[in-house]
Amino acid sequence: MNGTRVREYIGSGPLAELIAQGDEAERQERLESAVARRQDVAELRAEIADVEEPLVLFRGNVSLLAAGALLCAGYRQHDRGEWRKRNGDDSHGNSGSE
Amino acid sequence: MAMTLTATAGASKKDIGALMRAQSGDEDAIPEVRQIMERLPELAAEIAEMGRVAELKLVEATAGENYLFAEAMQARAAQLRESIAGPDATPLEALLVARVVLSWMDACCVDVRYAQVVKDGFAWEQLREYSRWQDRAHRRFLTACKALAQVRRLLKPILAQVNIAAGPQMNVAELGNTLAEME
Repeated sequence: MNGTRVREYIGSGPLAELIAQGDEAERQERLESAVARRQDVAELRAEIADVEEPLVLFRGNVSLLAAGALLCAGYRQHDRGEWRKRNGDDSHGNSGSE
Repeated sequence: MAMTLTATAGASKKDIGALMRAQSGDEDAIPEVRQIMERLPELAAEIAEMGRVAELKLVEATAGENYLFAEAMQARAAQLRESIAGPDATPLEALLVARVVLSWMDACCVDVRYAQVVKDGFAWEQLREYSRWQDRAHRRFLTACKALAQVRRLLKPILAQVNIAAGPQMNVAELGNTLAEME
């Protein structure tokens, strides 16, 4: 009950057996549904990763080219954030990281 | 910038290594980076192809067998790419624009999927996964916009507004080039 196991004495006899069987079936059903939910989530994660992977790869490659172009134009990235022109010319420095 | 990349046919591991070294402050790598940048159009074409693969995968995952929706998504993406890039986009700019549009599509697709899940009934665990995907997609979109703005601002000629005494206000495009020509 509310995440806590509760033992309830229901006596003995055919009626108690029946109630115990019902409880067991319910417990089994809950377990199966939890396993199915975990499987669903794992499948969903795999599906999302399948869609995201090429996006992330594309993004990374574009970033790499952009960084190359900025480096060739004389900019240097400061502490993985701001790109600044070397030789003290930072008049067009841009804040923000990639 | 994230530099955890795999080598592609156009950019070898050595190229990537040089770019990463240059970015971390190794000046000896700069000549190598310049050589890589000479192949920029070729590299850009190859990376653009990767973008198309990513786009198709995204469209397929979202539209499924609804081919009308799939076509509409791709047409809209092409339209956006054209209007954001403009007529004079450099290969690098075109790539950055493609990244913006792809990230936008990604964010829209996740929103569509999220709405479907909510409508069709959902498990909290699934909703949480979609919600995380949504966060990542929106972050990627914002980063892509920022990267495009950054490259346009730093690598394109400056647009400046000049007031000339009492005369009309005029915009002078490519002020840097104009001044250079005057000298």
